[in-house]
Amino acid sequence: MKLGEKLRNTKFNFVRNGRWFFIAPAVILLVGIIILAVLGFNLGLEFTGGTIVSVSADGEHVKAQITEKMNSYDIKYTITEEQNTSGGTNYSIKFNATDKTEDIIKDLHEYFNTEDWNSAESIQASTTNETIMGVFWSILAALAGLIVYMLIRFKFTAGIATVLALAHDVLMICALMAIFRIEINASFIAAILTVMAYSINNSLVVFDRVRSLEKNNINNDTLEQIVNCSITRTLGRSILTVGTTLATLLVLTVISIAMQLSSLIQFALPIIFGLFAGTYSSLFLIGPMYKQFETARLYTKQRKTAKSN
Amino acid sequence: MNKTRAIIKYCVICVIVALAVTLCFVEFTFPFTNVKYVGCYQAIKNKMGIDLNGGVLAVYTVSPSENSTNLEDEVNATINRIKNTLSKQGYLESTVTRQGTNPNYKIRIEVPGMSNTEDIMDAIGTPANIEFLEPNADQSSAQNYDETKVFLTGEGLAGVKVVSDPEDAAKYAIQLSFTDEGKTKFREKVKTANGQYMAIFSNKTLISAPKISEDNASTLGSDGKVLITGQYDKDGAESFALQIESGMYTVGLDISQMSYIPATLGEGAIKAGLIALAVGLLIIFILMMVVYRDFGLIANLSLIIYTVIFVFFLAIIDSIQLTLPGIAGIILSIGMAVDAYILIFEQIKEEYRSGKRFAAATHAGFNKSIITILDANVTTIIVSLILYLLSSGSIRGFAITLALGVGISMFVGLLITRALAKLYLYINPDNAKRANIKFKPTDEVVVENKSVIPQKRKLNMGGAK
Repeated sequence: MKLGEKLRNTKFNFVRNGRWFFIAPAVILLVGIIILAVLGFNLGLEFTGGTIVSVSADGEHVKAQITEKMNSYDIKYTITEEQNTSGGTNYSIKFNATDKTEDIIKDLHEYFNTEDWNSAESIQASTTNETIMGVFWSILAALAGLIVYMLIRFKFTAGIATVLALAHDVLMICALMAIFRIEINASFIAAILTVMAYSINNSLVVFDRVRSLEKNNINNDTLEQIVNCSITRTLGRSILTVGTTLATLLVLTVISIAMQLSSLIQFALPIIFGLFAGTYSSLFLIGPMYKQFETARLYTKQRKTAKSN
Repeated sequence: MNKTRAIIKYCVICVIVALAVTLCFVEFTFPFTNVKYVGCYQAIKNKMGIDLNGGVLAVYTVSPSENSTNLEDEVNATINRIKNTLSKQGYLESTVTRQGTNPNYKIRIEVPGMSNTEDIMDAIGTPANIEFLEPNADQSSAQNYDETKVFLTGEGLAGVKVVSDPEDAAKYAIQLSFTDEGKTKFREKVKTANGQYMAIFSNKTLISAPKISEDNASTLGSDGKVLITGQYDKDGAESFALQIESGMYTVGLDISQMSYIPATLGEGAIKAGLIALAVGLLIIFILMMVVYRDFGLIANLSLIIYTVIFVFFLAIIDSIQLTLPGIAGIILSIGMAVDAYILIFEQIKEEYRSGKRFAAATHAGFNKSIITILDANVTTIIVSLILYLLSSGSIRGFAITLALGVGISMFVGLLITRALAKLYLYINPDNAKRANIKFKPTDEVVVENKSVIPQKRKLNMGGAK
């Protein structure tokens, strides 16, 4: 394959150009932070707490009716409408009324006849916060397990670079989710986990190559050359692997958009963001990082031996 | 083995794989028997979680009872009882899990396929306080019992079951069984109370006052079980049993979250997921064939075998439920399976370019890529196992599908694909072009005019430090 050959023989220096590659993520992160500070995340019901009541109807005055009804409760609420596949309109009424929730749901239930009644979802925020913290701690524990494995199998510096690349990928997804105002719901956690697994996988393949080149370094190649060679040689593999997964996810997104399955879109998009971020970090970031860490490590080691002499 | 035999073997393998794929989608009853065969596809569809299939989700806050000693055990016992109650009523796919830490436990109940939030109350009953009161000789009216004279509570019960009435086959009776402590207490009271009425109160209301018959004391002696007969019909007996059963929850339960997820999302989502998976696999197949030609075919065959094995395990392992995060796990592990093939084939290319013949390069490629594949997959398995142990609900589903998928992909990649490639070498031992590998003598990466790459790592045996 011609493209493959070109990629293999690329003369691009991934390490030397390192600093430039940190600009794009920094910009995205900055924009993300600014948007987060101003608007915050677009959080789903699982995170904000509250109740969602959905009704579907196709009359013209339905919205006015709902608004009138909701105004009578004296609470804050939002109504969003969405065309459904059968030609009618779905209305989602979101409100947060701690002690009156049950009464309001009952009242609304009577107000709309049962055929139009879609669903009433009620979630309390406190429940979710516990779940989120649980997930957070289990992710940290999983990362600790990963670092232990990396310490056994690879150099310490490679482990740090892998974890930093992982942090980059997760931060990028969060920033992009904030920038594109995509709703964050329970499946977002699964998306983050998927991206984490991919990120580790990508870094490992590169470091595996670095390790084998370092072991067989007969020509006394510099660290920079070894890292560059490792990235270049795994380039074809990275592109193919990401391409195949991306294909499946893009198809899923397109179908979800066509079928208006917003929950699936909200699930596929963060993974797609993460795939791009993960590929980017394993191509452009881990090389320079590893080189810096290794140089620093060797430097301190040298100084130690110099001192002891 | 010669070329023809290798080709025949390949044909046989393809037929077997095709058969296995077909078996995933069909459903039939074996002739002359009642044994029903359900293909993996349908079996997995039956196991969809509430985010796909729709259903009811309820979270209860646990409050410890007054004389609680070990809350964790009590919560676990309650969870088991709720599970039993639900599965008895046909909600086999429901999941009941413990959340939070001591003493702020919550119990999360997911019932796929249930269509109304009120149904869950009917199904598990309203947590109640069951009390057995001192027997009374007079009659079965609530006023005649001394409410303070409780001799047994729901904690003394071990189980409650609806059985058919031994005296009237058309009617039903309720069978109570006791814990060891409950048995002693019950026997003590009943021994001296022949012919009297024993009241059962639920939340301080009288629900039943059966007459103690002569043989109650003796039956309790033999199997520790008591039968309440009373000409119940099936519904009556079941609702009575449920009333008692909900008194057996050893902790107090207060509803904190209740939601109904409509099924419409499930049908659409599963359809979208299936189409995406099919199209995605097709794209992978075509890409692999274009990039690696004959090796691509081997990879595709392995991928089909992998998918069949994976789907088989998804269908037979009870604790796996298909949820949205589970689908993420499946997509991810398919990606990792493909990744393994790509790693192997890239390594073979490299070996060939370093001067080996095609067959030798193939063998070496498989051998050398084992380490990379192991490293990449073992880390993923470690991460998913830790996640599995520490999390609950859908994250657990993600972790188990991922660990399973990666484990199987390692097995298929390192054993089956390898065997297929070896078999392929009998058909084509020397023509690397058929695997889209061309010889390129100047295979080096040049960094600032310096050639750096060790050309023949094989010769490096003594040179390494």
